[in-house]
Amino acid sequence: MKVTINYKGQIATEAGQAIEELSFDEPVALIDLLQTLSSKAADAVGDFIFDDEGAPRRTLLIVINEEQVIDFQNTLIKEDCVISLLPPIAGG
Amino acid sequence: MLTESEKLTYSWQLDVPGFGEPEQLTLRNSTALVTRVGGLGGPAALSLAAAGIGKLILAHAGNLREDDLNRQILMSRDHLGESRVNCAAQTLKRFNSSIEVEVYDENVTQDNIDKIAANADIIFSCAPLFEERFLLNDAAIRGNKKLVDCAMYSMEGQVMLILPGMTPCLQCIYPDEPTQWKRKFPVIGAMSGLVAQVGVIEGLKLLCDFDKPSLGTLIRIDASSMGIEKIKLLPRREDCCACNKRQ
Repeated sequence: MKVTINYKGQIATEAGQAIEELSFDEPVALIDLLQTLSSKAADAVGDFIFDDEGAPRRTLLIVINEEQVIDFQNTLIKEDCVISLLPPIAGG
Repeated sequence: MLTESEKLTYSWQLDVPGFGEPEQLTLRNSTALVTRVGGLGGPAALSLAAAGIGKLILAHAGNLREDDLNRQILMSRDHLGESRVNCAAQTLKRFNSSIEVEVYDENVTQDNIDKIAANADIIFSCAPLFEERFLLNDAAIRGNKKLVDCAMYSMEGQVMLILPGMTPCLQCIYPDEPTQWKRKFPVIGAMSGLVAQVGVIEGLKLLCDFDKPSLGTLIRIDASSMGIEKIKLLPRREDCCACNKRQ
């Protein structure tokens, strides 16, 4: 199955791209998807996703199909999910 | 009642469905705090002045620099080296002499936030640092004031309406200090202006109780694809350190 990842803000800058598609054999937990992303991305991207202790950063807004999600363990990513990673922005 | 001059000045917006004389009077009797008044806060303050807000409180420290001029549209080159907030106030008063403008040549801090925000009915948070945004968020919650948090980065922007006790607040979505945010961010003036206008429209809906303010959502603007989406936010965090300061 394919899922689409939208990188926003400073993550897009660090990733050098705004959209990425990933394929999985079966639905995966959100936390596993984030770990997959972090392991294949540049360190700077991973730093936006996980803190120094390896926990997902609470300042990263994760949006699945236009809804905010904070349950990393129990949220299942299924076929055609669109996941957006929104780091905090404060430009004024 | 509106004066004859006010009826004429605002006649075109008084034709907007749901926005009539009672809403215009509400606006005239309201005070908005805008901080800061740079690329985002400047256009926001200008549109609030155009719409007929009764009073603007502006807070922004420092003097105008040449590299402010691509976006800080209340300032002009002949004011380089002068107080930004005083330049902004002069422009706004020239634009609409019937509004009152109060200025603070300082950014909000823990020490001055209560004084600066005390008389505001609504706060437009346009500061480039989370430290200031969290202070404004706290002040809105403690004082039961409406808050419009407007932010941008490069070709993206976002607007969030906060009604204390009802909607999630800024610290509900960012429970920790965002340490990775960098003070210098890429910005084209038209983009910060665009985000400001979305913020003002939503703020006017909230302040004057007309149309449908986007509560409980994060409005995201992507100028690269020219799209606007509304992200449904989770309810307020029960352990939110800001929401729990509400009286």
